[in-house]
Amino acid sequence: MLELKNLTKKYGDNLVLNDINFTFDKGVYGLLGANGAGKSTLMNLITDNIKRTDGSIFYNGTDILELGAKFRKKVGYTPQLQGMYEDFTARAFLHYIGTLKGMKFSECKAQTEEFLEVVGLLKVAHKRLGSFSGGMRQRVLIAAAMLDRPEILILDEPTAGLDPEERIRLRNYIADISRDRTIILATHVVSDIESIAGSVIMLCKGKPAAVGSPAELIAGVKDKVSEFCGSYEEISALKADYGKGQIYQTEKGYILRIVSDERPEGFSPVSGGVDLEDVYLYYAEGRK
Amino acid sequence: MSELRRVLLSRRTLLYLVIAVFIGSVFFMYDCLSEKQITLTGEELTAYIDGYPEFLNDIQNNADEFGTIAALSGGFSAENIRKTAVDYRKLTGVTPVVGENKGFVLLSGYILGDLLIAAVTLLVASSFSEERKKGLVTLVRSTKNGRRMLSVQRTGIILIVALASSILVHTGCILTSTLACGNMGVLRPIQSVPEFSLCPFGITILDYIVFSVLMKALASAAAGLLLYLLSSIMESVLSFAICAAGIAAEYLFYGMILPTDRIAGLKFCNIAAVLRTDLFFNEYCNLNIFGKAIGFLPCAVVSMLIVLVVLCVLCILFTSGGGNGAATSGSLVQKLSTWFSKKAPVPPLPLWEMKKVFINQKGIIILAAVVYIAVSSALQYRYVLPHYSDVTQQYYNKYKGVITEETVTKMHKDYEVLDDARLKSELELSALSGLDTTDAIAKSKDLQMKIGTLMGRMSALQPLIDQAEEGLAYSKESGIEVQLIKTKTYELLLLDDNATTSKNSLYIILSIVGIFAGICANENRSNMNSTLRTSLKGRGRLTAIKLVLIGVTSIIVTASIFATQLLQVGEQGFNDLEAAAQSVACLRFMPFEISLLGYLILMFAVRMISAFAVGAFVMLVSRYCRSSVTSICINSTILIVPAVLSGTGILDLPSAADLIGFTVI
Repeated sequence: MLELKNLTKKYGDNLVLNDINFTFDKGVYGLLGANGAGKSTLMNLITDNIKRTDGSIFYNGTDILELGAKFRKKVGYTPQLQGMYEDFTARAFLHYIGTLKGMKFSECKAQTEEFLEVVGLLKVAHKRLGSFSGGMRQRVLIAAAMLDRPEILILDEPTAGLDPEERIRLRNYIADISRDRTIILATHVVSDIESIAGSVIMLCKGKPAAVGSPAELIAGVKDKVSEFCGSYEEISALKADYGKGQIYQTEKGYILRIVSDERPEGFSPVSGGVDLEDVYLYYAEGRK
Repeated sequence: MSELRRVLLSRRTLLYLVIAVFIGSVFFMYDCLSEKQITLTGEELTAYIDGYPEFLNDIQNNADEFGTIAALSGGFSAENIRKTAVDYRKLTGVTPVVGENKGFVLLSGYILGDLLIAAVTLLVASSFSEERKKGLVTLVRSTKNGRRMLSVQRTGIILIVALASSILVHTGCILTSTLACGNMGVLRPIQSVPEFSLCPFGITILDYIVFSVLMKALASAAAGLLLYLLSSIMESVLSFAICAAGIAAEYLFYGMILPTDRIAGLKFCNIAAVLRTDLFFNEYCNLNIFGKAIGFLPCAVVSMLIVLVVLCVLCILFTSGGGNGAATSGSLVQKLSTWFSKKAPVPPLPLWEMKKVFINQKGIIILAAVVYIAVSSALQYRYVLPHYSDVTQQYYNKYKGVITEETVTKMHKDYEVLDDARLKSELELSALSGLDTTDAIAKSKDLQMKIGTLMGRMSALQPLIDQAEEGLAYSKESGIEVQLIKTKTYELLLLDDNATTSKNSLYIILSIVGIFAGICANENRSNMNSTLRTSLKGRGRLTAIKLVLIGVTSIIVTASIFATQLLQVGEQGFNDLEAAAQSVACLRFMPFEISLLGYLILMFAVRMISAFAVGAFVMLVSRYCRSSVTSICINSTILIVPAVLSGTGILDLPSAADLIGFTVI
């Protein structure tokens, strides 16, 4: 169990995370938020890559700073920046990460082959990482994080650059392994977590704006989503007022869909379903 | 012409040239300042110059004598002797002139200069394969001048770079030599230099230098073209390996084949031989070409020109292709590496770090190159080793041991006895001065000899008395017992040969900066830090392993580079190693008692620890740099520039080289 208590991070006068309190248990946790909301900072604090300004992070009751290497042994991490040695082959890179994780050599070899298969890179494992596309690199990093089957898996924007098929494959795998471990998945791609996250934390300006299961969060904004159907000229005129609304083109004409506390005149409740994207827009983009 | 401008005027090419000239000149300066015996000077040189006409006569006489015998058997031997006589007859009238030869002899045998010329050419040649790595081949090939014309231009670039680097490195060395040793008198006949006494050509030193510049450019261009050709038809790692193997084979042929072997052509008509141009001028050899005796220089020049033309044609023909061969050979390498990575065990973390530093960041090339250059250049010239006359040796044996009042008194008494005997003999001699009888004349001669012997003994004893008195005074003051020992070897090692010590220190700093500048910068550039820091062993353990790697490498480099100096200086052996270090005057700063052996061990320990500290500093700088180049620049500014300025005597600055080359305070 990973527990954040009054966690605060400042860069100079800039308050990036403000008094975060949260407990991660087993399962998938989605960390949603716009760019700059503090997701990566939170990840870096949990992995002890940056120093916290205030507060504590406990793992099973002990501060992770006290646990040090013992805590890191239980963590797998995919950073947002694609860090890797470009002159290593994919296989050699995973062997290297396995060695850094203190794995037994035979186990390291076996798991390398297993996770290369999982991320669909077995056939190109002999190639240098420098020749890989962004998506392939991302898959290598995910495989690296999975090595040694960590109890806590922290994935920062793991699906960046992946094609739809790979996204689905990764999501399925995460769902598969989440039963007996904690997986924290930071993203601003809502669909990544909608189907697999048991709990979602909406980060906004360094504070959790909402926490709950996707269903709970969706229920919370259900009455706040409305839409306006009209001509292109009408929509264009309204869009100036609701800049963050979404515009769709349908058979009936153009639709402007917005999420706000009060329904504006002329707007009607949505005909279709509400999804996590509306929740994201409601919290991350600012309430109307 | 755009490619010519792009490459020749690029910052990188200019930087290669500047670095080559800088390194070449700096190390040449150290050689110029070295205490080693480079060539004959003074009376020995005058004797050589005076004896040169006789030397030519001897050759003619030998040719006449052996030519008659050989003519009977005919064939190559007769032809060889006849040609030798003809070649040297052309030198009749050549008058060697005494002058400053040290700089020229050093220049003619300057291995580092040769390697720098070759290295610049090879680096420029290897840069042409980068566009394939960046996936730009199709783009380049789809342009109007992207095929044959580009190959022609690149072939020309290699030739131009080879020539430019040869001219610049030579110019740098000549200027340095002029500064350090004085004007080398380039208009003198080359035979003025004793090392070139066998040269059969009537040329001046300037002619030789011009020819040498061209020959070295020719050899470097051949190596560069070979690399360009190989890297365009196969994967770059494989091309480097094959090119290196080819050049190494050439070097082996050059080093191992005897001039008299049937396959001597492989020795002389070869890149390594052409790069060492001096060989063709300070030795005389004719090759057996179908029974005819042909000078080895024309053979080498002609064969190298043929090789160059063939390589140029092959480069123009084959490098304009798209590099399909590269994909094939690349896949072969990949298959091999896949097989290996599947079968081989996963290495432990220290080996991974070694791989990163020495293989991926090419540290092994820097290490091998620096150690090879340092050791081979150190072994090239010898020291004038300390010599003790028999009389001095006798006195040392007589008074050896701890210096006491008694020893000094005894020495003074012995000196007085000698002086009394000399005075007595001089009186006897003056008494005989007016007599011209046979007996008197014979006795006078004996007395003169006796006086000479006595004065010789006195002048041998006096320095020992001085040494003993100084030692005794020190003993009384410090309470540390010192011994009367032969100190010249230690003084040469610790005091006199500063230039070699500084040069070795600079080699060590260069290798450490070169190898470890990217040790952390590479991780910063690759954005690997957060991944590493989140791993079990990615923090303290990883840093410790890097430090151990730096420590072990620093020790190996320091030991191997300084060992050559130690072995050369101590060729006659280090005497009295068990005596107190303070027995040597320059070591009296030591506040505690330590033997000479202990001091030498301590000195090497300080040097190794300093080298390790330099490595740790390089790692620290690297930690805060985003690229190896930035790290190299910062480390060079802090570590190398002060060492160079101080070592060459331009500015008296404290530098890391003082610690790495620690001898005495």
